[in-house]
Amino acid sequence: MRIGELSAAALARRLDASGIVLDIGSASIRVRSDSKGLAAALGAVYAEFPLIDADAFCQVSASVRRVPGVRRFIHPQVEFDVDGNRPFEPFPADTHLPLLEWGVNWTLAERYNHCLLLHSGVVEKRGVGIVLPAVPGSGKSTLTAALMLSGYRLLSDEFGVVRFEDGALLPMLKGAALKNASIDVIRTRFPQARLGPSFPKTRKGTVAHLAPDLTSVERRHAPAEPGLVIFPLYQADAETTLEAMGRSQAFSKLVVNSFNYEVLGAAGFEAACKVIEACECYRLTYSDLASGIQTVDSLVDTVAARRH
Amino acid sequence: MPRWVLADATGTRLHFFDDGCAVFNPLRWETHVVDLLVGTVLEALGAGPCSLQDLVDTALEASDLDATNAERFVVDALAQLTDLRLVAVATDYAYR
Repeated sequence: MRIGELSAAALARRLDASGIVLDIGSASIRVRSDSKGLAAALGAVYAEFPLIDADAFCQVSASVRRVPGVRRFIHPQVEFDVDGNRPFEPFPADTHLPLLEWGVNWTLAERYNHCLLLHSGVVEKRGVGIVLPAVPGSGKSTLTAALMLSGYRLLSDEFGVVRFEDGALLPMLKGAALKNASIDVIRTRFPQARLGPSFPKTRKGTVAHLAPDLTSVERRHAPAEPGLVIFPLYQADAETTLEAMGRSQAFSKLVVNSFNYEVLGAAGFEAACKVIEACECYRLTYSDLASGIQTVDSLVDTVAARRH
Repeated sequence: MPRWVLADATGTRLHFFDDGCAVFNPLRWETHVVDLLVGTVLEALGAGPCSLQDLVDTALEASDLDATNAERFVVDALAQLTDLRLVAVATDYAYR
C-alpha cells in the first residue's frame, strides 16, 4: 500500500498514534504529528512512497507537534522534535511541512557522516548520474525538479550522497522544495507536476514541495554511477552558456558545496576525488528552463554514448 | 645537506587530475589544490626523504624548466609547503 492511498483522516490518525516511516532510500525517517494539515501535505508530497510499519528501523525519529498552552488559540505554533531534542524555535502552525523538511534535512546533514554529503541536486538518465551542486539561490532545485519532470530519475534535490567505497551516488529522495517564482515556473511548464500545498511567508518566502515520481520512488534503493558534475546558475535574462571546467577547479567547488567534507578528513577527500574523476565537469548558466534542460540532455547523450 | 619529507607521510593524500593536484593535509585537516609540478614534488617526497637536488632532478624530468628555474621553483615550493605543514626537513621530522 502507498501513502497516497490512505485518506487524509486515516493518515492523520496514524501520524498521531504510532507515526509513519518514510523510506527515502539511504535513510528511513519516522514521522509523528498531531497536525492534520501536515497529514494532508505529507499525503500529497509522499503519495508514491510505500506505507511502512512504524516499528521499522529508522535512522531519524522526528515529530511535528502543536505547541500547547493558551497561546495556541491566538498564535498557534508547531515545534520540531528529533529523538527528544528540539533544535529550533517553534514555527507558525501553518508551516508544518517546511518545518518537518528543514528539520529532517538539518538532522541528516548533522548525522550522515558515513557518506560524503554534497549540497546538490542529483538526477540520473541513461545510466549517467548527474550531480548539480550549488549554493542556495542558484536555481538548483528548479532545474533538478524540471529534469525529473522531463524524464530523469530524481535521487535528491538537496543531498548528493556519495558512498565512500566507490563514489556511487545514493538516493535520498524527498519532496523537492521549490521557492517563490519557481513554483509557478514549474506549475506552468509541467502541468503534470504534483505539488503539495504552498506555504507563504516562510523564512525562505513561499515554499511548495514537488512530489517525487513513481519511477524515482521505486528505484530509491538503486545507486547511480556519477558521470556529470554541472554547477548550475540561474541568471535572469542570461543566454544559456555551458563552460567546461578543469577537474581540479571542479573538485575545489564541489567540496565547498558539501555539508560534511570538513569533518570527514581523508575519507571525504577520496570520495570527492572519485566523483570528479568519474565525471565531466561543467558550469551551466541559464535563464530559460527549456534551454537548460536541452543542454543537459545533450551532455547526457554524449556521456552515455561514450560509455557504451 | 638537509633532506625533505612529507610532514605526515601516512596521512597525506594526493590525487592528480588533468589540470592540477588535490592534496589532503592530515595535520591541518585542510585540502589544497596545487599545480601538477608541485604535486610531482609531493609525490617524490611521499616515496621517501629527498634532498633539494633530488627534487630539482624530479622537477627537471617532469617539466620544461631549465636547471636554474627548476631549483628556484623547488625552493619556492618547499617554502610554501612548509608553511602549510605539508613538508618538513627530515631532521626536524625525526625529533617529533
